Amino acid sequence: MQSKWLRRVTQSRCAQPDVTCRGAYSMGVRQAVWRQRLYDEPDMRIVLAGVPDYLDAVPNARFCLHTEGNGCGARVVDYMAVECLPLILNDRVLFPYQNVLPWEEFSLHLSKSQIPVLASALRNVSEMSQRRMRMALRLYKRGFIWWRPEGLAYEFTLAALGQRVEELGLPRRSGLSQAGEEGAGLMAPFKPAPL
Amino acid sequence: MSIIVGHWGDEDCMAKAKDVVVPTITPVQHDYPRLVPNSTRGGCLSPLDPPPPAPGARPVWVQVCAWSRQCALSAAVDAHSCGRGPGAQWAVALLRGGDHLIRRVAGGLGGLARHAVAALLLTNLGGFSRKAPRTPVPPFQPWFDTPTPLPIARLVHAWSTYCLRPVSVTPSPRCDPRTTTKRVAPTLGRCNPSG
Repeated sequence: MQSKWLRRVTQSRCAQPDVTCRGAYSMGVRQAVWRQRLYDEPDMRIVLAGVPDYLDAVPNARFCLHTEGNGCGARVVDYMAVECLPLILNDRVLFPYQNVLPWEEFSLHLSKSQIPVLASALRNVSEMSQRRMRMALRLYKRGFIWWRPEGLAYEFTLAALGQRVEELGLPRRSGLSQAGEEGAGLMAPFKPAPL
Repeated sequence: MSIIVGHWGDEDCMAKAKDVVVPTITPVQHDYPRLVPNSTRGGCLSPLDPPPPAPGARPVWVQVCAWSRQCALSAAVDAHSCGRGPGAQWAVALLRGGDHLIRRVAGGLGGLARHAVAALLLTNLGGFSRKAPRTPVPPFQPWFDTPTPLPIARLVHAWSTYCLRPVSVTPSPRCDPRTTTKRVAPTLGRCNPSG
C-alpha cells in the first residue's frame, strides 16, 4: 500500500516541492512530504492515514506536522491544546489570531518549497529554543480552547477583533442610542456612527 | 470585517487585512475535560487570564474585577457596553506584553484614568516578566477601613487593592525555561502512566 501510494505521488506534478498546486488536495504539500521519503527518517513518524494512538503520540512529540488537507487548519488547534509545537507546512494560509499572536515564537512555519530541508531544519532547533517555544505555546494555548472555564478563545477573539477595529480605524458606537437595542451585546450588527 | 473559522483560513477565502481567523472546535476540543484533564494544573496563566481573587476578598470584588477586565476587552470592539476604554491596544498590549504600547495607551488618557490604566497594565504584565513585582500587593483591608477619607477614593483604593494584582509573580516550573529541562507532557487520559 505504501509503495503504491509512493509511486503515485512521486509521479504527480503537484508532489514536487517547487510546484504550486492550489486546486489539488492538500495543495500538494502532503504528497511532497511523501515524495521526500521523510518516513524513512529515524526520528520522524509519518503515516499514510490515521494515528491510532493520536492522543498519546501528539503530546509526546517534539513537533507536530500541520498541513492542509481538505481544509486549512483544524489540527493545529489540537496541537496547541495538548502542547505540541506546530510545524506548519503551507503557503498562503492564515492562522488563528494571526494579527495579535506572535506565531513565530511558538511554531515553525516552512513553505512547500522548503520540504527538502525539513529534516535538517528540525534537527537544528536547539533544546533551548524548543523550551522557549514551548513556554510561549503554554502562554497562548488557552486562546485556542473554547471550553469554559479553561478556555479563553472568546477573550482572544475579542482582542483580535479589537486590533482590527483599531487598525482599520473603524468607528465604535458610543452608546445605546437606538430604541430596541436594549440588551444588545457584542454580537449585535455593527452600525458605523454617522459622520 | 468577518470572523473566519480557522478551517477555512486560506487567503483565497478571506481578506487578509480585514478578517480575523478563530480556532475551530475539534473532537479534542469537544471532549476537552475528558481528554486533557487537569491541563492547566500547574500551567501558565495567559496574558488575558484574570488575576486570582485577593485572599479574603469579598465575592462582590471578585465580580467587580472580572467585570473590569471583560469591560476593557469589550471596549476594544464596541464601546457601548461599558463606556470608552483604552481600546484594542489594551488587549493587544496584554497579548504581546509590550511596555512601549502600554505607555502609549496610558499616555493617551488623562488624570486618574491614566494612572489606573497604567497600574492595571503594569501589574498584570508584571507576572510575566519573571521579576519581582513592581509594587507589593497590599494586605486585605475592608473598604471602610481604608485611610482615604473620600468615598470615591475609598472605592478606588479598594478596586486597586483587589483588581490591580500581579497575575503570577513566580512562574511555575512548567513555565520557566530555566527549570523546564525535560519535556513535561500533559496528562492524557487514564492510560498515560506519566500523567
